[in-house]
Amino acid sequence: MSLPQVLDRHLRDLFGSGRVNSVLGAIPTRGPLGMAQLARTPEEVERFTLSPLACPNLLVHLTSKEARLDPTRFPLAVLARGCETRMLNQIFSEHGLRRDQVYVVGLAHCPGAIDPRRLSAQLPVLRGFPEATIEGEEVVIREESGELARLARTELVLERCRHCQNHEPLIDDYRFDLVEEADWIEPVSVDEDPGVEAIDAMIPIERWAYWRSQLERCIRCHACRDACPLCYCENCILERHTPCWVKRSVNLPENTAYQLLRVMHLVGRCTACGECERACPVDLPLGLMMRKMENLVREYYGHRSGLDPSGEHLLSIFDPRDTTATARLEQ
Amino acid sequence: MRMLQAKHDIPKLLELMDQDRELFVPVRDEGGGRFARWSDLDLSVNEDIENTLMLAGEATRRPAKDQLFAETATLFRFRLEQGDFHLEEPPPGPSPRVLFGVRPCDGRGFQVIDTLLVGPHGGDTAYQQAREANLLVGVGCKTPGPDCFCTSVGGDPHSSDGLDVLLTDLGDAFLLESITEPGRDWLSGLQKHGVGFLHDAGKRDAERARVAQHEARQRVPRQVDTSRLPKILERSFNSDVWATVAPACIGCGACTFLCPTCRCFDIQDLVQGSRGARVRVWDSCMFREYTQEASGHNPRIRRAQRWRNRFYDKFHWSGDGRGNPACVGCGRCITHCPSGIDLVEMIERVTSAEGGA
Ligand code: SF4
Ligand code: SF4
Ligand code: SF4
Ligand code: SF4
Ligand code: SF4
Repeated sequence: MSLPQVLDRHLRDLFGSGRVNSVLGAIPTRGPLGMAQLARTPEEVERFTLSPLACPNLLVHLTSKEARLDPTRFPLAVLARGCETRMLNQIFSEHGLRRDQVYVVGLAHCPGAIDPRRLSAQLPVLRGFPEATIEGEEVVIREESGELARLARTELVLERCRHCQNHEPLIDDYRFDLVEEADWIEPVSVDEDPGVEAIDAMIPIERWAYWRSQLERCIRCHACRDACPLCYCENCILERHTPCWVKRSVNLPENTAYQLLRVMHLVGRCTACGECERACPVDLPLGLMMRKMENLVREYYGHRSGLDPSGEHLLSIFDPRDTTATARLEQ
Repeated sequence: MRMLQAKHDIPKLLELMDQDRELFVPVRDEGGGRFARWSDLDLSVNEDIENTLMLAGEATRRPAKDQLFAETATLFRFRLEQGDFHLEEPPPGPSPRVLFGVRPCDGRGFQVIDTLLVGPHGGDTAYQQAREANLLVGVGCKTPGPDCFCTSVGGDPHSSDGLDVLLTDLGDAFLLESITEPGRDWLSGLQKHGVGFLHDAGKRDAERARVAQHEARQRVPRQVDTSRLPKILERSFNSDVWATVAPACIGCGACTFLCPTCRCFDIQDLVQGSRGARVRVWDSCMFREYTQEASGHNPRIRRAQRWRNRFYDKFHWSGDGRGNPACVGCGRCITHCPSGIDLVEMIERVTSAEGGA
């Protein structure tokens, strides 16, 4: 399934007018998960897809070291859903990129993206370039051989989509509606997140037992860090050897240090896109950890990253009359 | 030597196995499964055992590799005394173990790891000791996983390469066949104590097994021609094809750490006060710092270069020492790549881009 004509035309024109040097989108693969692709010529746009199977958060390819090695890709147009525009806001606010480096093609009325693990759990062998179309509360999965299944949308979408409050782009230079009429899943409320509530209900010793049982499984593949568009420090502390803050040894203390370090570096920045959890090859519930952290930031500072239209970023706000948690701690 | 074991008696067999050697089994967990110590499991009823042990269907997400080539292995310990370093007595090697339920591709994976860590001139002591201590009891795959392609790289869902004993699923029972001398000894030891539930297998059972094995081979879902790769790769180092994965790959270690044949490591010293240990930890050629040189230069700074390295390691520079690639076709790097990169598709792409000339 290629792009709708009007969008295809628009992207090609961006090259033609010299507005951008590349377009970042996703292409279908043989399996249940689309793949990021950087088009450098108008012709390459042809392979792009808007399928809900194209779930990877593309923004990592804007901020990664790989992207910085290659300044010729900017200015760049990116196909961004609501959640991704929120993250773009955050990246701009902390000067990760300049607004004029990115041309935002906002994908509006987003009905959600499909989690390949959830899909594979129901249809284990999908290797014939599957296609998915959202029809109301159902997702229709097809391969070349025909229709394979109709599955419930709420069972299939990414965890982030179940919590999503930003189905519409927060910023854009051009807008394209993914479906005619917006129709999204009733999101899990930030105040009543059953996952977070279950953790909060535990007494500390149970809570630690829970996280220990999860962290013990970590193999320290760094996929959670590498998948995160906000983990873009030039000199990541996890790669430092002198001093070596976190050892490579895979065991509970080092795994805990690793994960805490990653989470702490995202305080006030993480937009809970859940890409870390999706990338984890051994299914650590990292999204839950990030949602809890995001909740704390909201509770203590009344701040939600990426949403502030003035582009202020929590960690760069200084107010002498500040009465929030850190200020109180110091008194 | 061939024995037959009814499936409902498997718990008895496992208890028996756990007597002389410590038993490790493939266990379903929240992370897609891994090998764990049998005696640590709390399984009382047969049903639990069937649901928990991963003896059929998809293989454990974490390969059996980590049981012998641990993520973190202590090579030796040392202490600083009066300004001098002293080596401490090395701990005794591992006690005899049996890894039960190893998939054939994981078994073949050990042969690839051996080429690096068991050298003719002395290899990695920790790995060698673990290798000698472990008896590998494999189980064939009746229903392969979604990305299995072992038959395209010299393997088979019932390959016995690298295993001491192989089990074939006959529906209501398993056929146990010894492959090596130690496997045979072990099996006859079991036989002595397993009177009543471990039976001698007849010719008919062996025939049933061949049929089951043949059928399983037909069910391996993915095929790709790898025969021309060694030649093609001789001239593909500078091909444009490597750049095609770069826009998607995030350079993580998921593919290498789940791979039953990836065997790169780093050495680190852990020091606390006057005591310390030298440890061997997994490393990945997909990491940027893998080739970071002290000067600041990095010869594989780009993802396409790192991806190419992994591909060449699997299909050109290394092998299993028996003429097969260093990839055993388990498909884990495909199923679990967070970026949707597909090794089989890449093999096809390399072959068609460079295969003509
Ligand atoms: S989080 Fe929201 S905007 Fe993002 S893909 Fe899911 S539903 Fe769409
Ligand atoms: S992705 Fe998962 S296994 Fe890998 S380092 Fe992160 S938490 Fe650990
Ligand atoms: S190929 Fe996939 S699993 Fe491997 S480093 Fe790249 S993104 Fe990670
Ligand atoms: S390269 Fe991939 S398919 Fe081959 S053995 Fe390793 S993980 Fe399995
Ligand atoms: S690759 Fe072959 S041996 Fe390995 S799990 Fe799949 S079918 Fe079994």
